[in-house]
Amino acid sequence: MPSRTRPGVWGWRLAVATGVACFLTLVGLPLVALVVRVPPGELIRRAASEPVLQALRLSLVTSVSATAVVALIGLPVAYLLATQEFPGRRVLETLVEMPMVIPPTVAGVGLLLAFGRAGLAGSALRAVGLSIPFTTLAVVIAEAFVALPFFVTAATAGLREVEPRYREAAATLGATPPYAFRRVLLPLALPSLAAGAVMTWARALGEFGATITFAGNLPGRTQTLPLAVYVALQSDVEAAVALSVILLIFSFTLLLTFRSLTAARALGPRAHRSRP
Amino acid sequence: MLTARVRKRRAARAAASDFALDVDIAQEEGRTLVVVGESGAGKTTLLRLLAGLEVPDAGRIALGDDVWFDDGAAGVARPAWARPLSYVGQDYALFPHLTVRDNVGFGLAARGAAARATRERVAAVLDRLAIADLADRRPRELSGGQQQRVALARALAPDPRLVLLDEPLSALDQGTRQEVRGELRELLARSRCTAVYVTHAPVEAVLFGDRIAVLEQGRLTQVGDREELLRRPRSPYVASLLGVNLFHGTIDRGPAGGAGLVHVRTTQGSLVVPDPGLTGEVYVSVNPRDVTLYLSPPVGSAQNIMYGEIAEMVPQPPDGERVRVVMRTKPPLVTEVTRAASETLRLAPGVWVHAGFKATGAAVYR
Repeated sequence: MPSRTRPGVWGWRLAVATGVACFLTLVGLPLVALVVRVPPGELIRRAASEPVLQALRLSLVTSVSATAVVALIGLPVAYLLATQEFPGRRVLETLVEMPMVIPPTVAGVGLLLAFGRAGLAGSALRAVGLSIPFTTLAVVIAEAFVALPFFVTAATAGLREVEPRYREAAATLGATPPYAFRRVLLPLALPSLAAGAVMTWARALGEFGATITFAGNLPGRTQTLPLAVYVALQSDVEAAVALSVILLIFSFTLLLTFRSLTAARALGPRAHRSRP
Repeated sequence: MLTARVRKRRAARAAASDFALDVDIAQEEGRTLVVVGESGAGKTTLLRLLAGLEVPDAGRIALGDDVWFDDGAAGVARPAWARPLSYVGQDYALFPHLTVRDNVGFGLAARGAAARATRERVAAVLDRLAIADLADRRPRELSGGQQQRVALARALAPDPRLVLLDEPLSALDQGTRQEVRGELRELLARSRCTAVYVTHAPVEAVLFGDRIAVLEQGRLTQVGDREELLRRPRSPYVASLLGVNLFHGTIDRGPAGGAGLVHVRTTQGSLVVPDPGLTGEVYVSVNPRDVTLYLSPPVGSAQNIMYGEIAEMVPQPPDGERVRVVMRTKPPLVTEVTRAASETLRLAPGVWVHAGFKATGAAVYR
């Protein structure tokens, strides 16, 4: 009996198609609405203006810095979570996920109360002559805070996916843990680490709430592109839309590029998954 | 001398009972010890303990004066990477992102050898294993036999003092296995490192090892040279894998059937055997060819008679003129008769027969 005549198949297809159509409407339509609102000429003229370039530059610098910071402090955490069993592990795992679930504005308040002038670490920071709030550094910290879970989650999964037999093979060949990490674990987990870094960067680029709370909204110093959109919205809707479209095109292009690159890699045989 | 006295208990999973490995090994350096046992006997656990991938509950592991593990006052527990050994697992675990050359050089580089020395040594090892032409390939581009050779090259390149081999031939097809087995034997003999080779296949053990240890349920039941094992099996497992009959009992010096004969009391009854000049517990082994089958109780020279039902009959060899007859006795008595005899007696599974062997057909040893 041909499968298409069997009951349930058409209903199933219809359900999938409906879901996809709803998704396209929900996520696609607002994006399309933004893009068609501004004529291309107007967009280019706006994009070339100094305030926009300034915000874009600041967004780029801070989001890339935040990604670097996250990778640096996230990798040890991911390594610990992926390779060790220890008491308090669940607590640490939950802590890693926290920035993902708390509202960014709450994160900003928390950062202010921790690293602000009157914060817990404020006097210690003042003692070394450091004042963080309302600086570009504060933007980086705010972005790193909210984006960290994306990297740590992906990196932990990636490191855990490397089969123990490779770690054991390295150990029996005389590789110390750091050597094995550098030459076996890291290269094998690299695709996951890269994916985590890209998601981290994308999240950092779109960060708004924590930034405006902790770093303020100073053009040229802490006013990133999302903040500039918010400000523009109060006075000039057309400008806000143009800024949004620039941000949108920018991130869409980068995500798509990364996706194509990893897809090309994944098409090759993933030999380390299959056993001989 | 490689000495390992280790104990490792593993908690029960589900319904299975607790498993405990408890062995004591003393192996002369420069030779190969083959450990043979069924799956679940603890072979891999033993290797992992020696390698340092797992920590024994108690015991001591040392190679010469070099102590790797000691639960005593000294409290030594060296991690795997601090032991001068190599380990070849069942699935090789070649690093997928490295070329054959870098895989083979890994152990040297990891132990801090100079780049130049590593290059030369790798070239020499690849040459010796006849895989120099594969140097720039990655593991996924290799056949099973080639992967096996690379895994061996990687293990031998750092010149380890101890090589641990966990069923290294099991992933190969029959033809390749034979070829690689020969090469491996020669390689180990020439490199003069100590090796522990684990296998579940008795044939493999007999073909490979000069010294064989039999592991049954976490315990070594027999350790000795191949000849010794073949001639004097000391456990039902070894006997069954060699296809001989084995009895275990105690010498009874009561009145025996004749001059130079004694009784051995076993749980299955008493046997009459040649006097070995021993007392106490002994093993009695009987070659299947020395056992004769009768349909009615025999009169005459056979001093040992057992009565039982035939469980199965296997041509020996598969197309041969002899038939191996296994009886449903305890332990299962195995006899070998000619095809002609089996046809004359109309032997078949389910038929009840008397099996007899002469006292002089039994080998008695401790």
